Amino acid sequence: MTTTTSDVNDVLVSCESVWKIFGENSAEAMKAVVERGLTKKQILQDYSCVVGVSGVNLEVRRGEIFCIMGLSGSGKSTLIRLLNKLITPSSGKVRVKGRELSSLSAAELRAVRARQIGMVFQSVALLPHRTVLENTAFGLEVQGVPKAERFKIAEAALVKVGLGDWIKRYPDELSGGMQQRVGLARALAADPEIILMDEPFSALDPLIRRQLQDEFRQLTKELGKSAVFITHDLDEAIRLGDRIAIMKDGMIIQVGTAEDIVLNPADDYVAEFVAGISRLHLVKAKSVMTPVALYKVAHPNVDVSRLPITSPDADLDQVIGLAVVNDRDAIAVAEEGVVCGVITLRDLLRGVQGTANEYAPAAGQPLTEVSS
Amino acid sequence: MSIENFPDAFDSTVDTGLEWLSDNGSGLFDAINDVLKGAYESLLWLFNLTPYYVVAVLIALLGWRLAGLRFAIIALIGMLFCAFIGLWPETMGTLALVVVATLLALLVAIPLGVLAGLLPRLDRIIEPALDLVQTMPPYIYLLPAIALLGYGTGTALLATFVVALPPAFCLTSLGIRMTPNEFIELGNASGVTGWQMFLKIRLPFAMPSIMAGINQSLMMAFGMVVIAGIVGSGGLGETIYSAIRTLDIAKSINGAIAIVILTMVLDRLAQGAATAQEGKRL
Amino acid sequence: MSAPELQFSPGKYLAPLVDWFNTNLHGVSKTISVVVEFSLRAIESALLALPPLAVIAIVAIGAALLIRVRVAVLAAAMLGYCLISGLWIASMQTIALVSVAVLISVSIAFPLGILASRVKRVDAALRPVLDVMQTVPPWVYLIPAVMIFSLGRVPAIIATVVYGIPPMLRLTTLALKQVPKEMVELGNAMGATKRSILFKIEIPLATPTLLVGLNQCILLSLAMVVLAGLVGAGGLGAEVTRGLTRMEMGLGLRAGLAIVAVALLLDRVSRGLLDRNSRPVAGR
Repeated sequence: MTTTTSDVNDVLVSCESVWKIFGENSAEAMKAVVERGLTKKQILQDYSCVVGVSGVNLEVRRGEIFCIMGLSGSGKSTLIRLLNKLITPSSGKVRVKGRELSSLSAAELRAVRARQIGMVFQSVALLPHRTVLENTAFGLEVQGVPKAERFKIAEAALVKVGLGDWIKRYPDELSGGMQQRVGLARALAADPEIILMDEPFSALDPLIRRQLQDEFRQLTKELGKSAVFITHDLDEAIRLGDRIAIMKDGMIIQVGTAEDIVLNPADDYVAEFVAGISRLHLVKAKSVMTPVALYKVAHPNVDVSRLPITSPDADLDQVIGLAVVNDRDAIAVAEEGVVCGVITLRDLLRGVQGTANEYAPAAGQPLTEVSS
Repeated sequence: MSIENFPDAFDSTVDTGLEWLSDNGSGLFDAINDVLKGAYESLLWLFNLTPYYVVAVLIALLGWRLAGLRFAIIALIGMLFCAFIGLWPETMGTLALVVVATLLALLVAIPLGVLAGLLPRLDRIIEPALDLVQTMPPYIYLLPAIALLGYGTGTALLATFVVALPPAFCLTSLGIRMTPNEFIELGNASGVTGWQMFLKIRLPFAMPSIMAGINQSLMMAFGMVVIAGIVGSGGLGETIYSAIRTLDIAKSINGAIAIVILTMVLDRLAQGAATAQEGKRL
Repeated sequence: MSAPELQFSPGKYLAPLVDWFNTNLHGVSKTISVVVEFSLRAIESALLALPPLAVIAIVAIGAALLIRVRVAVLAAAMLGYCLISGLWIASMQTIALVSVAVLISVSIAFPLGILASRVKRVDAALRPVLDVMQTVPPWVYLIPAVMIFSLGRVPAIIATVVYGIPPMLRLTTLALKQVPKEMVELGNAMGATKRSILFKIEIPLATPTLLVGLNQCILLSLAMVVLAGLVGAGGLGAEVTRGLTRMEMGLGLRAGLAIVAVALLLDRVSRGLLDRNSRPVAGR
């Protein structure tokens, strides 16, 4: 699966030490946290306040789908609502395109919500007394776009999600999956740069869910949008996310690509989570290969240039396929014609188990550099 | 003042108080009386201007629009029946009273209800008061009305106005408050202004409740108008009252029939309006 | 100009019917009158036999023990007002009327409501009838009652009973329908008889809604009883009528306030019993 490289330097949404505490004494509890650094349990005991989000730092870059994964009670629903200030943080800064949300006036905040951040809800929330077209055009209506124009834009959005024939219908005539497509169309119609997705597919049955996940990913990439997608389903996060954050008890435990998380789980909690995930499509050639220099030392008789070649970003499944077809037990990894590493059978098997090659370059390092 | 004297002391205080009111506030009360009577009489004049069959047909047409053909036919027959049993003027009188009183009540109750729905603190003050009004037997509201405005239609209208306020207010307030949370969130996430949130989200969801409130207010008003026959309000109420007092069985039966017919017509019309409203959202 | 020349009066045709009814079924109406009058007199004498302060004390203590002190204080205050405004007897008469009417209403409405909750056809048949009954203004009930029983307390009771049945019936049906099916299934699974399921499971679970029905029935009955003062039912209604017709504002206002007092008393006490039966709510 090809991914558009996201611009590392263009951060659209960021959180800096963001906390959210719920309860009547939340202000005092927040102060106590700042001064004394209490745990979630202590805050519950001493102040009868619940910590929703606990010191979160994250960045969402342009063009990336950022998945936040966590079980219920992990704080992910709270976190996503902090990003468009539906919930106000107890402390910390939330920035959208560089501007801090708490510094915005009410009118500016409304403009940000209307034009820069869209939201898709788990319950879809389609207004039952409006047609599909009117619902889709709602965001534009709020901005004051004239009727003819906003209906045109809305219709185009609906066609994009495949509902062009349903524009005159009412929400209760649509199935769950179709309703959620309308929700997506509504968010897209306003053409925001960032879309917040609050477990949008959780209420749908598995087959429809798969379909919508693929459509969503394709559409988002095609339109160049960024998305923050929260889910409790790890499979979904892996399918969709360029980067994944794992959340527990209000804290972010690990952020990384699916491959990072699977190969290098930050703690036992994450490790257990990913235990059941198949590595075949996640682990890339570059993570399991032995650097070419080392291989040559260990196998002086093998002509590296005669080995079947694969790219560094090929996944294990593809490498295995290549090995089986060519009936070889070593595959070369080349970038722009230059061989930078070799994958042996042992490397492959270890990769399937989820262990990276100890000599493979770490993420971010140039591939031709030998790590020793 | 000992306990035994309380009744007399009370009575004389009341009488003095009323004297004071009529001396000082007579202008105000007369004005109120005139406004109420004026509204009623203009409407009645309008009703009486048109021949009875035209009014009956108009009501039937309205019924068709709101509640279907079968009801329209029944309504037509019913209204004509009222005419043929010789109670048409009284029926029109009662109708005029109900319409004027309910409209006035709605004019106050609905905006107030909207405000209360948006401002919980306001609601907490007004709702218990109106709840109390609703708990009391409607009959007693004739007392302050008659004390201030004397006999006649003004009194009937004032008392009916009071009785019709609570249902419309409470249900409007409830409807505005009970907008499902996910849609409030949707509105906020879409960046709506306060006005937009109210007009585009809260109000549409509140409509069923508001319509139910209008229906209830209408029926409460109708009940009260009939009771108010005792204060010389004219209409079917007075017919029934005099019939009972003189034990005129024939007249009381006729009056009862007319009242029941009018009840059914009004109720179905109001319910029809509510469903028609509902139907707009499919 | 707006009324037709051709007129007829169904009343004139039906009036002889009523007369016939009165003459031939006199026995029936007489029996009903006797029973009603008897029960009324019984309750009235009970209420009036004791000195007023004793009645107030009993009610207050009962309320304090069964409900809450606040309700007891309210009850005492309300009854106290009735006493000092010189309308004790009238208040007791009204309370007696309401009590008898509600008792009869409930004994008819309750079984019917249970039946309707179990048999769909009964429910479907009753629903439009109840709709009509609850929409029609209360006055209309007095008319046939007066036609048969003439003026007095009996037509008041009859009309009030009929007026009070729909809310009680409706809410009984609703209350029983709302009992979670699993509870009834549990009873069946344990081999309980239908009767004990009704009394031990369904009714206790349905009690909160039942009490709402009772509350509504009481208040509507009071409204009707007061109205019936116009037809010679006595009590506070008659006092209000007198005040209205003779323009004796003082009396009218005193009686009106007494009605308010009785209404508040009956409402808060019945609601208090309701709260007592529902599960305690946190942060009351």
